[in-house]
Amino acid sequence: MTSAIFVLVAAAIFGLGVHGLLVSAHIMRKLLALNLMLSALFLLLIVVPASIDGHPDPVPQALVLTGIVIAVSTTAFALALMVRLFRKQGHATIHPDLDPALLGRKHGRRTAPEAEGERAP
Amino acid sequence: MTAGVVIDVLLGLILVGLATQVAIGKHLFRAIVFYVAFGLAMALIWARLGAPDLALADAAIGAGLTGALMMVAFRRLVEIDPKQSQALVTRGSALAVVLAVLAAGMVATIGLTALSLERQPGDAGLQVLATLQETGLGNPITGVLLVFRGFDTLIEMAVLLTAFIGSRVITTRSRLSVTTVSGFELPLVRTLVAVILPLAVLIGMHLLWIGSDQPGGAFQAGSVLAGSGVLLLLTGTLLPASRSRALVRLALVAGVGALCLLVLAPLLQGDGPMAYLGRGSLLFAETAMMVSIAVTLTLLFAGSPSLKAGSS
Repeated sequence: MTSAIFVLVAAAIFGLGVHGLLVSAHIMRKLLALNLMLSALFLLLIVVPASIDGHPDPVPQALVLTGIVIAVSTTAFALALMVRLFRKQGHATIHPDLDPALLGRKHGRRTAPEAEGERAP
Repeated sequence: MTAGVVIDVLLGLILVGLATQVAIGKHLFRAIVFYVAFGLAMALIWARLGAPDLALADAAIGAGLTGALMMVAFRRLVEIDPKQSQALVTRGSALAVVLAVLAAGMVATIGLTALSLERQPGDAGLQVLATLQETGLGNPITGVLLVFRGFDTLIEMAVLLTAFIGSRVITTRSRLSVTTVSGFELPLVRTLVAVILPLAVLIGMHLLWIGSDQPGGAFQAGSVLAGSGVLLLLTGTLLPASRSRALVRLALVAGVGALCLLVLAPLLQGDGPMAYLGRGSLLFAETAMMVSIAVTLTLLFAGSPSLKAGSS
């Protein structure tokens, strides 16, 4: 019963993560959503294998522990990348309306430099 | 319904509610704060599932340090350009909802199908518990991390080091600043630090020492110490420094170095590489890993190659 409940919880969090990742343009929100998906995965990894003597299987536990540290490392690196990107292009979003290159492709007539001018204050 | 089920459902609802705020809440800063709460709720669930090692790790790293790193990154965005930093272009899209529901359905189907199959404890897990006696360790997770799958842990430390070097490479040298609370003239902050800091160091050392036999270990200890490092940075007792020092560099590579020694040392005795050397060797490696984790995470928070003592 406990396992089934937490599988459903993991599924809901994974879905929320996917939604957040797709919908939000801000990179930090995307990172938060990715971290949610990771947590859902960790939960699944612990809940699904059969427990031994009332405790979760130690091998997946060690895997998840490694995963938590890897997650914080990659998040820190991604955040540093985001700050650099923000410094360079003035916004930390991935969005077709704000990206000159994508904008040029989407609306053929509006060229990239114009988009640049619109954005700058 | 038994009390256990009620607790599970409540914990599950809390976690999903917090995740909703993180994923689709209005303000970015609020989402970060909710993420910290999410990490703490996650730690409660690990404790409920009987995995105290994960509870400790998630409370310290998942909630504490990831949250702190997110907040300091957000702070840097605000410092560069307050207007754009919060620009949240969210576009509600039916397709995203459909995809999210499908993804959740997929995870639920996989998980529930796996649960409905006849479940036997995994061979690897049983073997770990059966051979644990020979290693003299009491905590099977420490056994997996450092004896049975030590190579994974070596690579993990390498990933942490690589992430740090990567962040250093792409961070511009322009400004070294961590906003401190010392400017706000809060009278109790220093007293609080004076009380919390020795306790945190004590807890870290305790977690390291008991890690071989009870829940705890290098990761948990390292992240508790990194938490104290963050506290010292926030109160201005430690400041980011631009010149890297040899000692700091040594601390950064200590974990990888010690694990490499653990791989190579058995060769001197004529054993194969990575042969088990006994508890003393593990304590040595864990201490080095703790120092590396603590220093790396503190420096990632500071966004600087080194630290120096604050003026006051």
